[in-house]
Amino acid sequence: MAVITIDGIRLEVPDNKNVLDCALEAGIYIPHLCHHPDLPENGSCRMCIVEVEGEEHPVTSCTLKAKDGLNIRTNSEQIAKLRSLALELLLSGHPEDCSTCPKYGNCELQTLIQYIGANNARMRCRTKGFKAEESNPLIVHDMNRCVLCGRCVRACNDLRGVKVLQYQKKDLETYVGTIHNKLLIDSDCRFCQACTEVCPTGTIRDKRQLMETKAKKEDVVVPCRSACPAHTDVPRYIRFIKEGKFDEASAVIREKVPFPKALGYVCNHVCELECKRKEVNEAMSIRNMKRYAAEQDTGSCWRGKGKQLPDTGKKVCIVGGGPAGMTAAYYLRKQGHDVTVKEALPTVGGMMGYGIPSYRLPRTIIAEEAAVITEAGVKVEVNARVEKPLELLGEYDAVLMAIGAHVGARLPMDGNDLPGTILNIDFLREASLGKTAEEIGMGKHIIVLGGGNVAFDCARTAKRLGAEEIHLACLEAREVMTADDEEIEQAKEEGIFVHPAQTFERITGETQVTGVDFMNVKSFHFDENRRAVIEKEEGSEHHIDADTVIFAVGQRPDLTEEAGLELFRGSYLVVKEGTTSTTGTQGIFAAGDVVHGTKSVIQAIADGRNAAMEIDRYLGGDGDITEILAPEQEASPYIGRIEGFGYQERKGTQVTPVEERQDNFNLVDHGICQGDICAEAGRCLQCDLRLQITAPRLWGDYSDKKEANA
Amino acid sequence: MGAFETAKGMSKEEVIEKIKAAGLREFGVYNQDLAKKWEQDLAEKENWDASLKVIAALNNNDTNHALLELLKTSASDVIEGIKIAAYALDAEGMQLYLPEGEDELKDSLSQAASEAGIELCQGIVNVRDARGCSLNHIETMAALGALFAGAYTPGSFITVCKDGKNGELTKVVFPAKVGDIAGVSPEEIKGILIGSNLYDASGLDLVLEEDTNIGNGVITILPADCCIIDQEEKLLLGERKNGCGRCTFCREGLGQLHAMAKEITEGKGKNEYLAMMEEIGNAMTFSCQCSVGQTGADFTLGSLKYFGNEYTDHIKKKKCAADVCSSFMSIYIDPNLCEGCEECADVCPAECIEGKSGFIHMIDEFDCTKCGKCIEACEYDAVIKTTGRVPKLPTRLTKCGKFKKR
Repeated sequence: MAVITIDGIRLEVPDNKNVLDCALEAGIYIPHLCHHPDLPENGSCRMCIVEVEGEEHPVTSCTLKAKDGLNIRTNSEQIAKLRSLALELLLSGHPEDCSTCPKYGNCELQTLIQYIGANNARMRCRTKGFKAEESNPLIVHDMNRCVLCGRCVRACNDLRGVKVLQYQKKDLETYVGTIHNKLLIDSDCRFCQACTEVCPTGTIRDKRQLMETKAKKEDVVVPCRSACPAHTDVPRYIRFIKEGKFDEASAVIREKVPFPKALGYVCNHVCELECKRKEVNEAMSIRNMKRYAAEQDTGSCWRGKGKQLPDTGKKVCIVGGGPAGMTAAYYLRKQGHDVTVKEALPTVGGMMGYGIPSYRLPRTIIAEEAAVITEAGVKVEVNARVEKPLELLGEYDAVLMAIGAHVGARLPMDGNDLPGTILNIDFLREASLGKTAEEIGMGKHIIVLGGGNVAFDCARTAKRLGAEEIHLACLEAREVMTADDEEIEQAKEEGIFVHPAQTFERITGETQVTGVDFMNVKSFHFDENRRAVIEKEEGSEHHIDADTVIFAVGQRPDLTEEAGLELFRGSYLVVKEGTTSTTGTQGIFAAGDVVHGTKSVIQAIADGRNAAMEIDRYLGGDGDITEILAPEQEASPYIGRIEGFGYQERKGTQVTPVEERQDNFNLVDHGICQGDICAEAGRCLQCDLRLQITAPRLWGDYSDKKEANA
Repeated sequence: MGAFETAKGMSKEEVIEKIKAAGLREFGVYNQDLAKKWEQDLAEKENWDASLKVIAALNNNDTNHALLELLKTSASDVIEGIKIAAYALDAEGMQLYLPEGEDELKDSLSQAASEAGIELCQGIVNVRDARGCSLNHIETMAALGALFAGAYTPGSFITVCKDGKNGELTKVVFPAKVGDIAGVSPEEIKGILIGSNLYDASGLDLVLEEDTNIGNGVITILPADCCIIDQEEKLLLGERKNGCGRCTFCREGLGQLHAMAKEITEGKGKNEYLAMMEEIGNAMTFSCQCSVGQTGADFTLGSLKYFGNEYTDHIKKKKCAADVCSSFMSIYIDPNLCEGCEECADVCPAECIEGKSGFIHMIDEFDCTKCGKCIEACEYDAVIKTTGRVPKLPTRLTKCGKFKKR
């Protein structure tokens, strides 16, 4: 330890610690610009100069080492003059248009200008004349605003070890850039954006401006995690996967969701839509990595661990054993409540078991993951349809309605009730129960009306049940069809005819469906009242023969006024404003599709978690269902350089060849192979590393006696 | 036995004692007692908790490279010197820096260097990467090698640069009078540069001692007919190109000094520039991390001290006494002498001479770069260059002999 004196204040500090940090940590502000707590010192900006007793000239406090007896002054007439001169020099090549700069208000240079009070009036000013480089993904470089503090260079070289950004010279101007001004992707940049994070000015910026959105910085910086309805910590589990630690990765996933494997098969992966890697070349294959980890998981990190509070004596009934209900049940049980799930169908799983076909999600997986929930102590009653939920309140302290949306919609059109018309969900449910085409009432020539994933599930299920000719028609144009691209492609491979941009004029036939009349759609959009506005192509009327029409145009909850609960739009449950799951009836909660209509498994799980929190609080708990299952992870900031990193392609999955898959319900997509999994995980930009970097503290953040005097 | 073998036969303390006894000094910009310098180097190494390397290089501000000659004449002394320094300082690595572009020299040294375990590097030394290392002048290493080879003689290598050409590099024994080394009389010269420091002709009377900072070992003669500010502008431009651009005061300070000097040579200078240049120049000496910035304003500070009148001439009187700064000159075609031969118009690179055969030619002052090609081309000496007033000239095409002053 050394005793040093700063402005008459005695401080005990570690030997050799840099004096600037000593002062800042003691609340004594010394202006600084090139200094950053996470980076080696540059000592170039000359903002942090101090006078040292016994030294002729001021020295930079960032490179000054604490020694016993060191006596410094952070301010004097000479220091003020030199600091001001240094800032004037920096400003001589910096544009004056602060108010149009995207960094305005968050600029460290700007706060220095305010603190020191200098301007460029005495200097010979110049425009550097660089062209702002906007052709890189994620990052904008505007070297005109650069004051050469060199933080980005040190972040890229010393903190990250990527070594892409270097000092460069063009004519007489120094600037920061890549060798030969190559694009970042061609310089093996890893797009970690540490440079962006440490830049004190508006020089290196996010393309997607942090300032423009009201969202939290954390959410904008790590979009996969914030996009996931359950906020699964994607970068953390991908890092475990890269190291081959699949148990740890699964534990990370299990911290947020009780159905990792099912999600690995069927999640609609909004995370991938937001993945920043998409801007570089292709999004990470997040869902398939989750699936791989879940399949390899032995449970060593989470089985028998995690939270289990002592019994509270409170009883909860969950109506509906789908992903929302089962998730809520699981977490409520962990909070110590006595939980019973009442499921109308023969097994739990909801749409996972009766909507999604088994060639996409094998039923054994649902059973396996549901078993974890029952092992935790959740009681499940199947074939137990609840007609009068209010009556449950006598026996239970709280009831969660998670009944999903199991009634298919029938379009209002001629012939919509002819024999040979089937509703999507009925069709899928029957097929899932193992019924044959005859039992379901399906013929040989099928038309599916609708363009979402459910429509494709219907079409491909019909194929597997032995249909000879299958047409799928929808209103939307091909580009805006809501089904996943891979679904559409695989269906086409299986010989299903896809007809986008069609109106359904009428179903023909007298006593039995004989086909559907269509017209081509010229344009189609929804108006402000969510009503479809369709322009048809004149004279384009045509007919397709069929003996069966499957409506796949949405579902709604199986609920009527008779249930005695407040409904809107006929069958949806109303939750109170400001809550996610609390209904107007005391003790009754709602979650999942019954609240917001059909969405996704992961959304239902997130809803289940929210419901669990609200119900727990209602029952007197603290509503805290967070769990830490995975071991601590040391995410190294030193990611190093990888040749061709930006060009690494997304790894595909192994898919059963079309001739082997179209007549059975065996699994089609087998996920990423073992040889590819680590490479795929290695493509991650690790956006979350950026959050490790210490945020700047501006001079206003130091509440110091010195400032009070100044 | 080689010099390094001799040193290795001694303890590290004995090596340093021998250096002290010989009074060996670090040469170049940081002229000081070598043993003391090493003590400071070792203390700095502790400060930065770095692995110490011995680095031999010219000073970063040295663009003349005269002392590089030592690597051609006494390469083995330099290499042995580096090894001895590394031994005495318990260093973990050795580097020898050569200026950019010295590929031939690098090739010639590569074998000896690699045998000695010395890494050959090129360019100026990044002082930030060299924190906690012992950075020594090549000349110092040569002297060190010579000392342990028993061939050391005191003194320092110096060359005289006249008309832009270096003379022979010779060893000067101190004390030595500058005038004797330079071999010029005060009347012949305007000023003199010792290393990076500028003096007027009185500099010839200075006596160099062993502790005088001679910088790059070059004494540069500034001829009587040069313009100090023109010299300054060119020198500053070179320094801007040489610097790495990291330090604020070097990058921006040199930029400001250069911009102001340039404006002064162009007749756009202002009086307040002088105080500004002095303020920036003084601050630069202690606000930069290597010699490029630390000595970058030496010429400017010297010129302000010794040649204040030249600044006043340029700024206030709008004249360049040496007739070097072309901005203060006018070139015109005397209408009474022009024969309308078109020769001048043909050679003008700016194509700013108007006229046709038999008519008086006229120079468009706006586009004229004052290159003087037309003066050489005119057989009739009709193109006149003057710092004085320009007489009345025709404003439109006029036949030769028809122009009348009114």
